[in-house]
Amino acid sequence: MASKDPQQLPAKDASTFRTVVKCYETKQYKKGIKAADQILKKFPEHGETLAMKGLILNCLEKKAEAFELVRKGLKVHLKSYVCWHVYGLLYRADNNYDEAIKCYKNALRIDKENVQILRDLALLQVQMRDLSGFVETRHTLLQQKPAARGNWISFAVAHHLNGNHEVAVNVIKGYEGSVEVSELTAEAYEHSEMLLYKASLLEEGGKPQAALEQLDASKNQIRDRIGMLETRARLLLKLERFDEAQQQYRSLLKLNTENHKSSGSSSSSCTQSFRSSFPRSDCARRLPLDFKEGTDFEEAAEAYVKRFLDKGVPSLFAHMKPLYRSKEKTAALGVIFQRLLSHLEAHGSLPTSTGAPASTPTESKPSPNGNSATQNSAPASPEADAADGTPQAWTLYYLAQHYDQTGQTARALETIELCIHDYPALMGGYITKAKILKHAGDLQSAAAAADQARSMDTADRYINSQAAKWMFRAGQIEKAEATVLLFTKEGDGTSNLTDMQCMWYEIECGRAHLAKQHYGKALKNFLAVDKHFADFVEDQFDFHGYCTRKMTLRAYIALLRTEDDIYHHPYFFKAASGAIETYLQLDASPSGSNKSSEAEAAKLAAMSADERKRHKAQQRKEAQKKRKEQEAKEKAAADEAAAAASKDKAGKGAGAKKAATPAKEKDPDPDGEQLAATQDPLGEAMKLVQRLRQHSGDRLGTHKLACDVYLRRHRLLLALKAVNNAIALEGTSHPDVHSMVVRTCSAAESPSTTPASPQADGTSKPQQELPEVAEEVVREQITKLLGGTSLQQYHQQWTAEHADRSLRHRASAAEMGALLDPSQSTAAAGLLLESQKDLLEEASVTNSKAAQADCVAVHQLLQSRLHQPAAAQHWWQRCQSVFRWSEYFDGPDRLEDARALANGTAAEDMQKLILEEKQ
Amino acid sequence: MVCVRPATVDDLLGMQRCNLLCLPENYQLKYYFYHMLTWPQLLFVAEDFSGKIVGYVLAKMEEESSEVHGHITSLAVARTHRKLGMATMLMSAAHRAMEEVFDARYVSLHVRVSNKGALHLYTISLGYRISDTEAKYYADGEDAYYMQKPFRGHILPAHKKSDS
Repeated sequence: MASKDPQQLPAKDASTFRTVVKCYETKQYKKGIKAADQILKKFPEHGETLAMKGLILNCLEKKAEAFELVRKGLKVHLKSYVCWHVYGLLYRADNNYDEAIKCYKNALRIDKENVQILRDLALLQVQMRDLSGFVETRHTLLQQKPAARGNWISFAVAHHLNGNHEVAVNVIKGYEGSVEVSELTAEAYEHSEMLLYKASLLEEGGKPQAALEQLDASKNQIRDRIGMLETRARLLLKLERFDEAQQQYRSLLKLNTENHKSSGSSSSSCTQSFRSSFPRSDCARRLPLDFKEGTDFEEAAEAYVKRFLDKGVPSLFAHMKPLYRSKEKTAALGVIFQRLLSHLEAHGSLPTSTGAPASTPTESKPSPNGNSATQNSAPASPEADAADGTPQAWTLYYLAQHYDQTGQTARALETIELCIHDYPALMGGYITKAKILKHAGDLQSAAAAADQARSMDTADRYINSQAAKWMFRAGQIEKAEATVLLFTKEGDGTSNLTDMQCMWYEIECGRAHLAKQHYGKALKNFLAVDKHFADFVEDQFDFHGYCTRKMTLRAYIALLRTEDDIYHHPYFFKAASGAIETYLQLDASPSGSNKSSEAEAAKLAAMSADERKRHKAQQRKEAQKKRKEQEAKEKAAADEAAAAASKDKAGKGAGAKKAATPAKEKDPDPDGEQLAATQDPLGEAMKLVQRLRQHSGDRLGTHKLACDVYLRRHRLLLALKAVNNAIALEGTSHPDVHSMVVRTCSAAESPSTTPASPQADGTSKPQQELPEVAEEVVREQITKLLGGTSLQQYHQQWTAEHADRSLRHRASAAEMGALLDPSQSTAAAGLLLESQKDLLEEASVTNSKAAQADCVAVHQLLQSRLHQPAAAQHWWQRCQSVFRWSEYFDGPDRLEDARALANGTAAEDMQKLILEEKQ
Repeated sequence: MVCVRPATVDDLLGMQRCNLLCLPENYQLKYYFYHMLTWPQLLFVAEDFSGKIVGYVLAKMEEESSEVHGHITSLAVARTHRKLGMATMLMSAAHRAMEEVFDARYVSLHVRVSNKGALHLYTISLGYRISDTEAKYYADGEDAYYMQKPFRGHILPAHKKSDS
């Protein structure tokens, strides 16, 4: 730099500047600002000092001031790499990685070989998956400092991520060749990890033979034996050296007999020998049930279940559940358990095996390698008491689940009541009862039974969580929250659950609020999950450098791959779907009030005079309660504010130290009211739709929601894209896909009549006429979609072909028919009612929750969309006689308490919860 | 039928879910990442037939201390899947990896003094013994036992205050 440069500090001040930098690095922020101010007093326009001061202020949570100072510094000293670097660091701290990368690159233009900036750039590039940029930066760094191990490893990783396995392997080899053997092997674990990483590179690069040779050559230095055996087995399989692969898998099984992913193939002879080698393995006993048939199956199954009944293993049904896919096995299991129960009732014990040789396990024989302790199940609890049940209790327990699985609700309930009556201390009895009731649609009783179970062991969080979940499903939000809070830190409220990323809770809570049209709270919960996922992506940042130091490269690569697709996780899908649904409802009724009053009217209409009276009284009570709560809340908030104010004063007296660490900020929008007040709900929904399309394109739900949102915005091309994606997934015969096709085509036929929602917001763009080209494309696509026929013809043909396949098909046919021609509503209703003979009968046989959800949907369709109250009533009555425990249909067999509980709970809520079950 | 196997990065959200359902001591996902990316061999899961994680062990090495040893950060088996010996299998797998991969001399853990079931498992089935009681170790004020188990060929160090 030129000496006359005003940005050049005299020696003394330059030394002070170094102090500023040092203070920043050592987090002595106050001192750093003091030193910076010292320089700025003399040179107020010194850019780098301004920038550094800004950087330090940012660490003190003064973001706005920080940006202002750094920009000012940069303005006066554009040619300073320090200023650009600092600007980049600021953006990075603000999670704006794209801008940060630009800044770093500007800095590097000025100082090409600055190692610190290169490192920072590389971190951002890998975080943002700018892989070619990452390779380039790591290359420069390696050239700069070839002595550092980390630079070799990172360069190899960069090539690996960029898909160039061969170069990556060569880089590792280059590193190995450049250092002494003693240095290479100094850290045994790290060396072992590097060797395994190298093998994985060869394997991924399509060189199994080389990978295997490499592994075998370094066998003695590899410490992760399981990792090595697994890799070897996989490689041998790839090389089609089956005998050796099998041998390798066998040695893995010796280590862990319960990893049936290791056991791989499950042919009869294979597991037979597996069983004789590992007589105590559950896996070896259970796998054969998958492929045995007939009497073979019956004998083996009986032998298998008897051990579990004897031991009282609560998960027995879960083990058998996959077998229920076979009708024969389902029937056989019913017979077996009934027989066992009769035997128990008559003799008090399980039958000893007769003619079932499979049931004589050689228990006493020690396992070959002496690790029997690891295969053994946990010993009986020290206080083997009534809570452990008896074989008879466990047989009843199983049978109840069997009946539930096969749709025999009455028998299931009868059986579980018997179990509870005889063994009241067995908590599982209540849990199973809750499950049966939930499946049958009696959500209130299900929650009550689960709560009963919970009260039997208040130290068990698992049952606490279960109970809370079912309370949410039953719409008992406050009770559910109170229940969950029994296990969180006192006084923290639900914020502890958010801190701990407790997503099952947020999703259930959001759903329950959405069902009650509490849009704010629903969004609050759903978007909390969205934020968690953003944090998960952010979390990887610290590991880019960390893993190359620790050499845990296989795990690191796995981390990056997981992160690439983390938004595919079901939690994100559920939360994003919930939020989109909320936004759609907000868009349909911005105030949220119209809709609920409409629903209220419909509900009142469906009630008898007596019920209506009770319902109104209940509502008055609720309104009063709400008012009182609101008042209390306001008072509490005022008190709190006053307390905080006085504390603040005290805090100032105590010195500045505390001010630097501000207390955890209070959530300015605890109930999500601001979220729900958004001016552009569809715009918010589109962002989430975009994310789902990117990561959950394999889910029909994604395209359904996308179609909904795009049609609402009249974005026909995008809606058509969603339709085509849906067709690619499920085909045109799927009822939901049919609805999408008809609604989209019908929207396209009447484009000009659907202006953007006339909101006075200005944020949502005014509806534009489609440009001619786009219109042309839309027309083409629709012609293709409909195969040249008219929409009406297409629909008629679909109806003729598919309407009889299921209730949902028929519902789609009816609904779309009425949509295309409103005068056909009555006929559509007729079509639906006609189905009660066949399809409803069929539904009643399975009596599953899915069937019930379909029937609820049909009722809603008749009542709200087709406006056929008489038909709706008719349907409702028919369903009532089928779903005898249903809350929605007010089933006659529901428990009395449940009726009392449900009284006043909106039928609307129920319907939504049941519908949600279905999805 | 439950499958016990080494955990992968893809399992970590399922482990966190299982932990939140079962135990009062919870961690953010990043803490699971940290374990997985430091000691990838010390995490194991039990997975049911539908792929759900119904049990896990999260363990680490205490490398700072004078004697290299492992420490069980967290162990859980869902109530629905008890009595299958899952906890024993998960713990044994973690123990073996500590010894084999990291040369651990012993392993330690903390347990609530009221948790009779776990105490039984650790002492009777797994060979731990109580070395110390730590007052108010847990957030709710409960005390913890600090327990240790030596690995083959090693004896426990002369007792000192625990280190985590």
